Amino acid sequence: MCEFCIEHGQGTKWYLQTKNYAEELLNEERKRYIADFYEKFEEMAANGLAALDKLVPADLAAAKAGRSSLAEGMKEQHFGQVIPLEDVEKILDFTTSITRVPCACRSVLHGVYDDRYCFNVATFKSDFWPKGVFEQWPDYSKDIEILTKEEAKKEFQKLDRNGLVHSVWTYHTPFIAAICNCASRDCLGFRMMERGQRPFFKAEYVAAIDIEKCNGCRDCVKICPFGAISYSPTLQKCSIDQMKCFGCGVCRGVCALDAIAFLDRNAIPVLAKEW
Amino acid sequence: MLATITVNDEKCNDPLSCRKCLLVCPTYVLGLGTSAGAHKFKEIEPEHFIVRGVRFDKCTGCMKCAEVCPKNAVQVSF
Repeated sequence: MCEFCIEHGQGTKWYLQTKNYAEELLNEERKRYIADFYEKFEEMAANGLAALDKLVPADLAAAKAGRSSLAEGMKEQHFGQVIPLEDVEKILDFTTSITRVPCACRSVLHGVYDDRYCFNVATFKSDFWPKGVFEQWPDYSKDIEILTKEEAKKEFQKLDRNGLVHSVWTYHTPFIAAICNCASRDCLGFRMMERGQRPFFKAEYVAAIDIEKCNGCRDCVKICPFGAISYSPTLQKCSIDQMKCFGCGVCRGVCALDAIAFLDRNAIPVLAKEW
Repeated sequence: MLATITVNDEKCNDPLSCRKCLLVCPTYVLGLGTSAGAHKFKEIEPEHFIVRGVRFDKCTGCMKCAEVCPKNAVQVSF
């Protein structure tokens, strides 16, 4: 169990608890935080990146060795966890509103303003995100889409096959309102990770390859967003370094032989402490 | 918490032709060596090959090596 599961999920997966999506959590303070988050995203990202890029090698080593202050501080505000496709579908099942919006990270990092990789979800008043939040920025709201559960599930399946990592995000923990689809070069969270600071937990799962079934095609090596899979030319098999595996599950989608098993992280003693 | 892996050499009497535990370990914790010192491989009798856990810092405790051993010779403990 990650620490949010213990704190906010009574020992079960915290992101599958409807109480962490409930309208009661949306007090004035949170509403202001959400408005500020989108209003000042570019500014926050620029300042944050600048601070990270200024780290000299010695600081970087220290940041990597210890738990970093920046990511640690984000636990209260805006923190995430990697989740596999089947858990995304479980969340979509209990939401009442799904709004697909352009990714703020990609706009900051690549100057791409209409790449719709982020899904804002709500379990209450169905126009909270499109009307309550985004309508005040016409430039932004012209690119948003309202999706049905079925449409959203189809989109997530497509994204999964393209190797995008799904993750839930909080707006003032534990209130969850977004599911992102990240890739290493496109996501601020991944960028932070390169600098020794990670604002999201690994998933409650890890992947494992059945070497009897593996034929060494390397499709999983190519798609793994975390560089956790390697290929042995001698054995002609692939294998997963489970210490590097984040449990996103996208490798399963490309394995034609169904050789990748998806295990409960909590059942493997050392990995159960690896978040 | 580091795991320790012990291999019963009496039960594991021909690791060179089996190698199941070496292949199954996702983080290569186990190593193949000899009890006869370092010679060229072919000069060593099969019974002198031994399997030992070496990189315990990489062991996740997944138990795959113990499960895959046909002779029940591998033990993982914490």
